[in-house]
Amino acid sequence: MLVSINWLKDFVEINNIELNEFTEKMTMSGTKVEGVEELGSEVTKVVVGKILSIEKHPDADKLVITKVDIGEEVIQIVTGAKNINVGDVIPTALIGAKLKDLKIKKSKLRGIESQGMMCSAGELGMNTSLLPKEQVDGIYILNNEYELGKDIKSILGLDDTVVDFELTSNRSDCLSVIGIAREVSATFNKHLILPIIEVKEIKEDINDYLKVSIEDEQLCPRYVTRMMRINKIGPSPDWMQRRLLNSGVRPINNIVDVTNYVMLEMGQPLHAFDYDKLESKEIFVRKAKKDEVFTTLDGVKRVLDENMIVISNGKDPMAIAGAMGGENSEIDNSTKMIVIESANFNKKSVRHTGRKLGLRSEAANRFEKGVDPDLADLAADRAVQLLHELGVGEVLHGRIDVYPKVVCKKTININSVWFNKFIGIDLSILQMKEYLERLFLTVEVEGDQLIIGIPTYRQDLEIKEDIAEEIVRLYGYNNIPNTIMSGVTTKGGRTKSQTLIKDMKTFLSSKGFYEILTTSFTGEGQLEDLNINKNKDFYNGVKVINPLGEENSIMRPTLIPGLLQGISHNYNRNIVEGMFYEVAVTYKNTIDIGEKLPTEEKNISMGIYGEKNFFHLKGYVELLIKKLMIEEKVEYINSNHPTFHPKRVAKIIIKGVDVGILGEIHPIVVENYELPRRTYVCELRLEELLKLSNNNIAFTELPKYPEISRDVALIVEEKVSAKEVEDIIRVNGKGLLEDLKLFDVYRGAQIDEGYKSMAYSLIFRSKEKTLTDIEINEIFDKIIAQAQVNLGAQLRE
Amino acid sequence: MKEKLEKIKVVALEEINSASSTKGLEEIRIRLLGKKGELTGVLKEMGVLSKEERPVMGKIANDVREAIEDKMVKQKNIIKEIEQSKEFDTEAIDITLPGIKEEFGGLHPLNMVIEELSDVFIGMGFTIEEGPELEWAKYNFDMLNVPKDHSARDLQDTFYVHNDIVLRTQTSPIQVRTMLNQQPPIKMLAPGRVYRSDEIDATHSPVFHQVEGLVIDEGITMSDLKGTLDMFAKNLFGSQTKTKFRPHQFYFTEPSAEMDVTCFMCGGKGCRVCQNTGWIEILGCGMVHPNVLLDCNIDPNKYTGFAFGMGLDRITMIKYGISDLRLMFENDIRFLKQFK
Repeated sequence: MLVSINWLKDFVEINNIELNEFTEKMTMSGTKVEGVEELGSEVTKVVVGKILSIEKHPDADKLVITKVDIGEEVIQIVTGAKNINVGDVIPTALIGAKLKDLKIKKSKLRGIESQGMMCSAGELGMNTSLLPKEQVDGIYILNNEYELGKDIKSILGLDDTVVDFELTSNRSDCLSVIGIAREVSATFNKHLILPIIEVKEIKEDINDYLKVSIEDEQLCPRYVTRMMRINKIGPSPDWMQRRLLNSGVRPINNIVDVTNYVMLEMGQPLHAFDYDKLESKEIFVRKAKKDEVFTTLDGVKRVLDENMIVISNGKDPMAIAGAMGGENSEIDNSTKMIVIESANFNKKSVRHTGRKLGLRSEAANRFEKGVDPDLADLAADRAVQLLHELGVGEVLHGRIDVYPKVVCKKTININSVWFNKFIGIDLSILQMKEYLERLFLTVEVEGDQLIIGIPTYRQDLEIKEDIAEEIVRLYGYNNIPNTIMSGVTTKGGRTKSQTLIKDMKTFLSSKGFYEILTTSFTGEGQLEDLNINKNKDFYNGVKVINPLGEENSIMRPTLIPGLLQGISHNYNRNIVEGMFYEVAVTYKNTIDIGEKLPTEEKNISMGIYGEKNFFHLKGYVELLIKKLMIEEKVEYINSNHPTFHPKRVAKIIIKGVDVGILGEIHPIVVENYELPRRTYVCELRLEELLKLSNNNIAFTELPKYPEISRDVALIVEEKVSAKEVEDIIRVNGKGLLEDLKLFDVYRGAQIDEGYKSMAYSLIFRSKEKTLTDIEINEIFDKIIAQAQVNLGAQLRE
Repeated sequence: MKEKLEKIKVVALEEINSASSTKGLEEIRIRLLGKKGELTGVLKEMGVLSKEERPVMGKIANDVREAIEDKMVKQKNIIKEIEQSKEFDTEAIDITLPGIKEEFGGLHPLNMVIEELSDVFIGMGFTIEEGPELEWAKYNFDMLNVPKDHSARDLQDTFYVHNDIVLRTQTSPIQVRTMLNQQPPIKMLAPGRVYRSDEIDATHSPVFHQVEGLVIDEGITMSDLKGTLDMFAKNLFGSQTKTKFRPHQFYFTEPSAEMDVTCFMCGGKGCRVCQNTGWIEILGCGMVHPNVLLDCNIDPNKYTGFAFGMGLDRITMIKYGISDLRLMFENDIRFLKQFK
């Protein structure tokens, strides 16, 4: 919220406080300063001038020679301005003046001397976005007469500083200059000076003209009206316009400006209706009807619903509460009588209305956060007081105040011993009282207890902890000591699974893999690009009800799309190889969603491209499984997963559990995702792997008896798998086979087409004795015989 | 014979001395000491000597033999040294050629920060807790004292997958779950992924990360909150780091605060990173609101506690000077490579 320091000074004495100190202390007491703008800080030597004459320049069609009275003298200014007339009062930059982006020097324009410059709003650093176009284009013409030669800055509000406060949503009471003044007063321990509100009324009584009723006091807890007879509608005075401008509000006319002025000053949004346009003597605040159509004063037809509140003339809506008035009751130059509304509307309804209709306003912002219902009558009075003082019109006698349930002042009790224990400081009860009283809370002390009366505008204060914050924010958060927690020690640390995952990541990173981070969202398109049939329950994953686009509409059932996008990103930037992994969550729907949460499962995906192939990736997977100390046998079986090359894909099974998939990406998917021709990917179910992990390390005695090693090369048909050969070797190893290693697969000379030679190194050892060649030969022969019978293998001599 | 032996010795020593290869030396040995060697030949002639002469000659012959053998060993060592040195020369390598290595990869910077943070708090006795990302709205909002009509619950702000289930908008529901499942004392840290309906740009993403911390015990004070977080800041950003606590508002804490740390780029002097303020806003924190404790079946009259939360993506970006949030999800290897 933008607050003019000059305006703030009406209510609290802060002349002696440096700006830096002001912003720092306000922030530290809880009213955070987001920014500060010292208006007109670059502008010097610009004064009020009056144009006495305008003559044509003899040598330039587009220039004129003017005489400008600046009080003590008359100067000559040559200008190209088109919007000036004799008699205009204008900001005049003298020789040596500084403007926002330039310095003024004595100069000659086409041979004629110019002793200064007339200024535009932009050149003076005024907020041009809030001014009407005619005031922005050309020279800025002042509305009123001022003392000639007077410095322009105070007249244009350029001697002001605007502070932008970032308010928390609970402090609706600070959404006004007075609200901020209260905080300033508390922070700096300075008196608060409130405006004196006195209304001069005429005899005519408002009750003869108007009746007000409310349909639902929940939706509208209070509705106050004042009425005025109007003399003159026109622009509001410059000082008021400056304050509005400096607060970020666009001046319109005196009536609207006053309603805005009071809202900014006190925090109560106001609205003004043209009484004659009501066409009834009644105001009825009611719920809108479903699909009720209403044209707001911006000329837009709005479709309402029953969660919105309208102000009606007993029949038709005249305004939408907290949003906008209607075309049908708008004030115009012929307005003779007005109704000022100062009401309290339900926050939820106003918020709903604003969102639904796409209307944001300063008024709605205040209603949404909660306006003090006790403020309505004061604000109405303040508005008519100002309007009367500005000569806009006469105030009718009395006000109508519909306020069915008057809000009560709350009290909160707080124990001073508890407070000190809770915060960890040692304040006396009188210090606490003093801080609270500075915040305009009433305090009674009874023993250790403080009984605190809460003003109605402090809707945020409800419990003793709230009061504790009030005391401590004035005491200063940073005056609280920093202490170490006492109490029993707790055993912190990572769980077994968390540690395993950490180790695993360290391992993969040390092997050359980069960890990636991908979005949790996917979409049908991306899943289809995985070449997966739409019937798969994959597509019935967890769907986002309000996604940001189709591609973000499904919670990913697999990590593969994100991984492939990462690979594609790199590949298409001429990066020739890469190894990536991600440990992240996948999501599965449940039939009874709502009874239960969807299932979340942590997976690990790994992907490589470049020089390395299927077996490299498989090797890493094997090492990973080893690292997790999984002792169970790992099986790699054929799979028909459509994302992968049908002949280069393995489903990984451990102890009957499908723990993942590993393979080369299918050419169709390669094309869809723009991947390298050979991309190898695996996705493992990490939680299943962690369940299988047995990280109890138990030492085994070193062998006592020597090993016997034998190499064997078997020639088999191409279709025979390594697993088949190994199974036969293992089965016949009789518990004496300690290790088995494939060290060569050979095709070519000496081997028939369609066959391959597989060379294994076998290591035999017994735990009980030294083995003899005879024993080993027996086993060896058996292996070869079996391989011959079952696989048609030949021993390669 | 004696002269013969002496002559052999002189010639032999001369020859050995000038031998320059192991092979040459071996030839000399065979020629002198071999079965058909010169010295062997002389010794064979010993048969013709008298009984008196034989031991005398024998001794001389042995001395000659020993002298030759001795010399041979010495010369052999000299030659070996020379030959080895020649061999070394032929085996010279360019030690400035690059080493043969397998490149290492690395953790994602965000996870590096998570691990670093976790270690700091584990050292203070915290556990690391996790919770579902698809979370009951009740845990994400209601039990954290967020008002029923708060705009954060709107479809514009929060993703829903069911009327009662949201993509958690904060890691705070993990607090709730931990309090429901554990008895105090509780000290937990919960890093995790969270979601809000923001379009992607340089500083926003619908998917981002937070870390949540919670302490519940008897007698926990606001000064403990300050002390713990000040220590954390010094651990993560360096011991010279200062902290500043500003009043703020959160629904699940009262009193609430935001913590700033002195800028770790400029040390508080003011720079681009801290926008010339010298301070960087790091986290939100506060004393756990009694309503939250009550909802989690913890007696607020007996226990107090504090909670804190911070945006991990932002901290990571500030820590490493990353300019655009989108880089964190793009997985460009040239980006990832920079964090080893």
